Amino acid sequence: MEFNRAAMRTVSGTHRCFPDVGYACGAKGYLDFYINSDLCWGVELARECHGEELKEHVGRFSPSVGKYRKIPLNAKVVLNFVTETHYQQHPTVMDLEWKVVYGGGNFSRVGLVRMNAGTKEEGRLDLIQSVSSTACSGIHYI
Amino acid sequence: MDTLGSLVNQFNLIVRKFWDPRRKTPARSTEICQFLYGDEYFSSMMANRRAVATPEQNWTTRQLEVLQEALSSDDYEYRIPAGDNRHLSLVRRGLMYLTLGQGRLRFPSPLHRLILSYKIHKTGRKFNPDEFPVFLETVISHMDFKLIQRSLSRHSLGGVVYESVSDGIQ
Repeated sequence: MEFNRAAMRTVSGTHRCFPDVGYACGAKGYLDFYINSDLCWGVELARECHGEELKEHVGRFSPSVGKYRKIPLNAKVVLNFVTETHYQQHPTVMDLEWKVVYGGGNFSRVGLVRMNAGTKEEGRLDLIQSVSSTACSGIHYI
Repeated sequence: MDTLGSLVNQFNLIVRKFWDPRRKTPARSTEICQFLYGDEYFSSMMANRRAVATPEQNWTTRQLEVLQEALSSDDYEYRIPAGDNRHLSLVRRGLMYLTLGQGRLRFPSPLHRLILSYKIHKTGRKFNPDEFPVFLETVISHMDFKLIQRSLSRHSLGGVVYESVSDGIQ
């Protein structure tokens, strides 16, 4: 719900964020969120996933055997929401996966970790609650 | 009395010129203004009016951000974050007023707020297909960290947590 609220606030014009998309496209599974129109973006959400469980989430986007292969997608991602402790225990990042790492007192800090061209990139969104919508401009990948 | 006298004179002039029953079409307000203020003043006034009518064409990204933040609150007043100067250009353009001393921005009226929110909705940020990472970062930055914290804390405890009735979840 929280992702849907934030996504609806972000997209505008002809674009809409739809939850649980799949049946209309003939897919066997339901993709968590789909941004329509010319964008065709798919977002799968996961919570502290690692190992086989995470592979299963990523495998759903597989063009040959994945559950979501019939959904037209220009871009896709598995957003894996994890705590800092969990990330320290499982630092591996898979393709298509974005780790959203929450840490600090009262989850006041959030970081992003993703794979880009085979290398791991880490970014930070510090003090997310105080900067709100302008936070995205402060991301710097290192 | 001078001001009142000149107003009465202007009113009489308007009535004489524009409320003439021989006129085939009713007078338009622009026609009355042109008559009252003269051609030069009238043309500059109309140019300003056109500029105000389509302000979204000249809005910068920062101005849009502030407007979107201000419109996200329920009220037509908006508390400015400390050290934030982005709102000043909006005040200069007359889109919002600054309430001094309280550190608040105010729309001229609730109707202004409504019209601006409609315009923002129409001309708001449109993402290009190659801006997927930017979209995700923006969405993540908008997400309420307290809800995420509660969700992750519950998950790390095995998903079985009996929360208080006040949270609405048992």
